[in-house]
Amino acid sequence: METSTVIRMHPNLCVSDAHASYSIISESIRGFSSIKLSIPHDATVDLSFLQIIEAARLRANEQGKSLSLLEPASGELRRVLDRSGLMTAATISDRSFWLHEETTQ
Amino acid sequence: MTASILTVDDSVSVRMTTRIALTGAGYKVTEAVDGLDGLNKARATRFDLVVTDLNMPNMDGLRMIEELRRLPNQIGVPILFLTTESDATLKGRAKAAGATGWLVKPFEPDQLIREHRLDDRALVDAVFRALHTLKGSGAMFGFDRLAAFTHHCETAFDRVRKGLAEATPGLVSAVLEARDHMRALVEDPSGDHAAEERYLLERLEAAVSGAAATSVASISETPIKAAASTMPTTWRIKFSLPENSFVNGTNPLSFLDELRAMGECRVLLDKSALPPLEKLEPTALYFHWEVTLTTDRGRADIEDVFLFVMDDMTLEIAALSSDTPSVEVVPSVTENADMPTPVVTVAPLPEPSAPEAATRPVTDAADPKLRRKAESVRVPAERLDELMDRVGELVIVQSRLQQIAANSADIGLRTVSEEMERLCSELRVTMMVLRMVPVATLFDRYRRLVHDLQRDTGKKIELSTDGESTEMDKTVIERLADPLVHLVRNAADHGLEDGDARRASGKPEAGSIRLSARQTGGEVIISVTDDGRGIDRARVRAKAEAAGLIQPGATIADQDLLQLIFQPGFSTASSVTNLSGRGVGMDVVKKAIESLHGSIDLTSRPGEGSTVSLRIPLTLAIIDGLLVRVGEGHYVIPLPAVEECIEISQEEDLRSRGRAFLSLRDTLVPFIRLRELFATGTKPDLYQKMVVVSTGEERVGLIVDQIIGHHQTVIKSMSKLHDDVTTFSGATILGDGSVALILDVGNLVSLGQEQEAQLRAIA
Repeated sequence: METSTVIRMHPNLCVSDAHASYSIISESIRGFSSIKLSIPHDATVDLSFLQIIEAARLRANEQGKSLSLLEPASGELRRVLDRSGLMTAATISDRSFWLHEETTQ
Repeated sequence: MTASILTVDDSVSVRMTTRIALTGAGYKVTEAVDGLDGLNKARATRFDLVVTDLNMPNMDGLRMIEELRRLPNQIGVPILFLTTESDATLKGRAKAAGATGWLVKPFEPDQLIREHRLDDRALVDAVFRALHTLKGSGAMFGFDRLAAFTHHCETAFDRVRKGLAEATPGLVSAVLEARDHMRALVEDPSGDHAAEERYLLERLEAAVSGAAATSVASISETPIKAAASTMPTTWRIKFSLPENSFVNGTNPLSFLDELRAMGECRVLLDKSALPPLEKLEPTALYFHWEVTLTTDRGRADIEDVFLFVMDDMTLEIAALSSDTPSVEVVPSVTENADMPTPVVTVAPLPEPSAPEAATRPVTDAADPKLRRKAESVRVPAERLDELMDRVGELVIVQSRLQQIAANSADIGLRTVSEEMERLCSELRVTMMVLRMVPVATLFDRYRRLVHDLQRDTGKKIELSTDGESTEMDKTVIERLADPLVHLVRNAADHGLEDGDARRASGKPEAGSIRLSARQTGGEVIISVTDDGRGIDRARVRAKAEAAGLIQPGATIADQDLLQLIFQPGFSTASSVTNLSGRGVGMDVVKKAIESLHGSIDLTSRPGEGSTVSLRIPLTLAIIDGLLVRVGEGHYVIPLPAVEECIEISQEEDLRSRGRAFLSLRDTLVPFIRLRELFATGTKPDLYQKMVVVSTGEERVGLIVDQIIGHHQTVIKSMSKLHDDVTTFSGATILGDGSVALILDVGNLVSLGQEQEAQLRAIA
């Protein structure tokens, strides 16, 4: 098994392409122990993508694998995080995953 | 003020139908017979709406609206095409010429009213919801420009909804144009639509703000103001949307944005319902939310955010305890009636953790009109027709399978065939039920008509209805609407006497028109009965003789004499009125009923009134039939008309030679030897059968060689070449691929009765 990979996500991270996003991330978790997701700055994002990532984070944790973002959330992704209220009661782990805050502090 | 509508159509029936529908809905209607006439009328009067046909003599619809758009007094008037054409190029030309809408005939008059009923709050709400859904769906699927544009339209309608602006023909016109633009934004999202968009938004703004148009921005930025100001309240709002929200185009983020726009807001996402990755359906929604909102807006405003999804979601809204008392605002009118002032009442503080006592299930909160009717699905009628065709084909195949199975010793095959037969029968019944609607939908249209007829004739008329729950095929009902208009108008104009004459003859002053419906076997009988003077046979005869329809002094049966009123151009009215007397009505009725494979019975008693009964088949597609053989040919007799089957021995057959009656339980029944009628040239079978059929009151025996049995029959129309063959109402394909003709029972019964009359005359 390969140890790590960087998955470059397509710019449409909305429900219309949710199945594609889900397949890529699921396959990656199955095939690699460390996965970094590269999300385009200009990606269009909606809640379906947040759900996939949150479920993937849980799965990676359960299997002792590492899932992270290559870069802190920005652009539309960051806006959707705020609009959705996901960051309102975010844990340290959440903030670390989405915003890479432990590296910036 | 009553909205004024100009209808331009060269078809009398379309003009009349439109007039009845629109006047019935409270509009003032002016009619024009062609484009030139329409243009002349438009020069003299400004209308709120113009409804026009496309193809007309003298000046067609396109040319008329080009000219009409140049008239200073018709600027901004919406123009709707009502036409049989649906060609896209034509629509483009119409739009370029200035048309704002397009309605394809045949149309339901209600559709016209629906599209232009400006004071109907439910319709305004429906448009608002549709725009909102379009906006959400557009944003969801990346049509951002569509979403942004639709947002402006939605805002405009929200102002109407909240009573801040009035729905006007101008708004309808602007929205119709906006709809076309929305389509363009879907088809060409990256195109240059800026100029068109600006123009349309200015029109929208002008439409909702009255004559003084302000900037476009003011539409989109107009804050939704509450009717009253109030002290802020903190609300806890917990909501869960259905899992299929994304697929349905619902975007929870827009709800959160709307809540944020109301005041200080803390949004907490609850991801506890998120399933493990392998069980996650990527397009389903699992997140829930808890929102704490401090706002001066009331509960209703918060509920409004979820207006479109209320039926399918769970929503809890609770006022939280805080330093400021929880308040409910009750708008009230003070002494100064122009200045509504809020009355603030202090509500008891709820327990911090408990929902407010007034919190109620979402389904109770929603206006029933706004509820999405999950239990019903709107399906275009053409799809039902297609489905009906498929069912028809299936019935033919099943019939073939049944025949193969009957000749086979294979038990398995026979079992499958029987099961198939049962399923086909059930499918057929289900299909029929899908298309059935109660005749109440038809009868309701005539209440307003009778109201207007009272005004036009000066007669007092009472309309009563009976059997409104009787159901018929929707298509049949629609095609009955016009004939019934003619019959009701004739009853009011010709049938009923004026008040003085009625009193003089000892009748109540108010005349009675009764519409009734009842089902007998496979047909529905719809009757129009009046208690007027009855048909004046002497005048009918005189008119018929004058028109050359009958020879002077010719002997003619009473029923035949009465049937003359259905001849083209026949009218006994001494003067032409707006209502009737042009001799077109009853002819139209006859043609319409014949096109439905129906028949008309007319009874009339001098001084007592008349009844016109329309006998209409319950359905036009599939019937249960009795398959019989006559000579070497197969024929189908509609089963609902069959009363009984009797075997006739050779002796009885010989005894009945030269006669046309058989004694059946002490009643003489006329009969017809189909072998002779069809000139089969074959010898009769040893034991012939008589199938007794009836059309309600009259019956006749049909002598056939063999009764084969029950046959589910898909009716295929006869060709144009066979229009004059009245003995058959259609044809069907049998299981072996051969054709069987379907007997027209009504015609055969008439034939039998004629024979009877002739024999009685000779005797």
